[in-house]
Amino acid sequence: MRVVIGWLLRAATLAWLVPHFAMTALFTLPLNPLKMVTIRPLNASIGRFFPQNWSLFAPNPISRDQSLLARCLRDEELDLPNDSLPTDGWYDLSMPLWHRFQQNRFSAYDRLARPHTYALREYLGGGLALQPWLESCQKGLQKSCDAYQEGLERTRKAARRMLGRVASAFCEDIGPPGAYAAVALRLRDTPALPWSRRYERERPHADVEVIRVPIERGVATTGLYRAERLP
Amino acid sequence: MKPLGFVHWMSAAPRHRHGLVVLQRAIGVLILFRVATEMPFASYLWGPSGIAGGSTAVTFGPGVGSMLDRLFTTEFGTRLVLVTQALGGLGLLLQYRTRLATVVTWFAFFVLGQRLPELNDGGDNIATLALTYMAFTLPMDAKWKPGNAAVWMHNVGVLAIGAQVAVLYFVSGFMKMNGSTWHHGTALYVISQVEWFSHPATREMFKNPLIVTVATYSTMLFQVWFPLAILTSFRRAFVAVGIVFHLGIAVTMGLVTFSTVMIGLELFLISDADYVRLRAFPGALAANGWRQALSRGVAQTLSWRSPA
Repeated sequence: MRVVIGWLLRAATLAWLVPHFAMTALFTLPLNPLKMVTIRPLNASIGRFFPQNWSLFAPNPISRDQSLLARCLRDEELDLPNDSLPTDGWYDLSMPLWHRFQQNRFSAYDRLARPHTYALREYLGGGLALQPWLESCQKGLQKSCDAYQEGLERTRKAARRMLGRVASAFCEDIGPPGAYAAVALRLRDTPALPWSRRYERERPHADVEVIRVPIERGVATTGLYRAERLP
Repeated sequence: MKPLGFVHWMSAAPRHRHGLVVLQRAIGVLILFRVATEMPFASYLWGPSGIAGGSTAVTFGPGVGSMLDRLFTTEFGTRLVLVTQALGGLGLLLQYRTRLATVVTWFAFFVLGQRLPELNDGGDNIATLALTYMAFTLPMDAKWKPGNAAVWMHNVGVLAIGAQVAVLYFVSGFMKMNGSTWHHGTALYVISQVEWFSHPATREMFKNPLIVTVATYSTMLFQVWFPLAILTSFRRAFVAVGIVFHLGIAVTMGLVTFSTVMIGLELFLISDADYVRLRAFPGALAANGWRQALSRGVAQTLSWRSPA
């Protein structure tokens, strides 16, 4: 009996191994007709229990620096429209972390920049998870457009919450508790120079207003921006 | 390999045991590095008042998920998960109760990953998957008999890790083939300008037409060919190139943990027989001199004989 169970176990593991990795490959490959018809079971199996994404700088690598700028707002600045916000007091929450990470690779600076970098991208375009729906929508499938819109709203809500918390933590760090009521956020977009302009020194950037969120009181902070730590 | 040959390969002995130890140690290093560097920011990242908003309910359902999420409702619970992860990582690094260490590490790593998915990179992703399949494998000091179900299960785990690495490389290379910057040989120049994934010291290097073209094309071709190459006797040469490739990524792009686990996975693919030969290399060096030892080593690396 034990021998039979042993061989059944062996057969079962092989019967699992082959379809599992066929599904894994299909899940991670770009959108194709087979993936389109199997996307729901793929998401429910591989996507849920073995989530993975191997695009790794494909089809094209990130070609721009997208940093998050924050301006903590006091009560009296709350009513100012976006185009009348003060030009001073804006802090870049991404670039200094990347620069410190370049100086010390054995640090967590890169990890600290990841949450708001991803949230910013997801807020603007929906992120990687919605890519198959977007691609399919662009090819004219209405059902995919609906799914993309629905996903984008959900993603934006989560991204807004993340950006709000990161920015609140920053404002709580730089000022005395309760000093600020809200925070305005901007995206600073600095595209890479094309190959033909590779010897130019200046890389032009553009700032885009993103959102304004109320400060979330009591949020945990990194402690990196506390006044006593700033030079 | 004939069908019976495959059954023999699966049943006769646990395979890639030395490679598995290297992989476990690499994942142990990754875990300990992450805990050491991120522990000071634990409250901010995962704590009850932190920025994280993820839930394990995505995977485990609302019942078990909400129970696990309760770990993060206190500062103590948050740190407890990190300490558990560190202990698991230490177990893998020191090869102490590796099966238990694998399960403990997987659990803590997975729960933290679900709590704040935005924090993780591809290295953490492949490490989680490798830990899942590693649970099938035998510890280095385990007793086994040829034909045992435990030997078969070990080899299922080994095959699964190998297949996962093959999927990773193939998909990554295949997707690059559709990218204009990879096609035109400028992808690494583009990345070298992005602060997040570059180092100012290497920026000028990627403005050189020869370096950027060769480096971009070779990256893409290496990734596409890797799954096939590891099935041939070119495997050792591809593993050697892969190690150099990932050391380069660690230095220039700063993806230290990703590179650590990828090098671990590449060394995992080396067979036990190759590890025995590798260990004999210093002895051969002392006995025959470096020229003869090196030439034999190169000949073996590029040998067309099927791997032992």
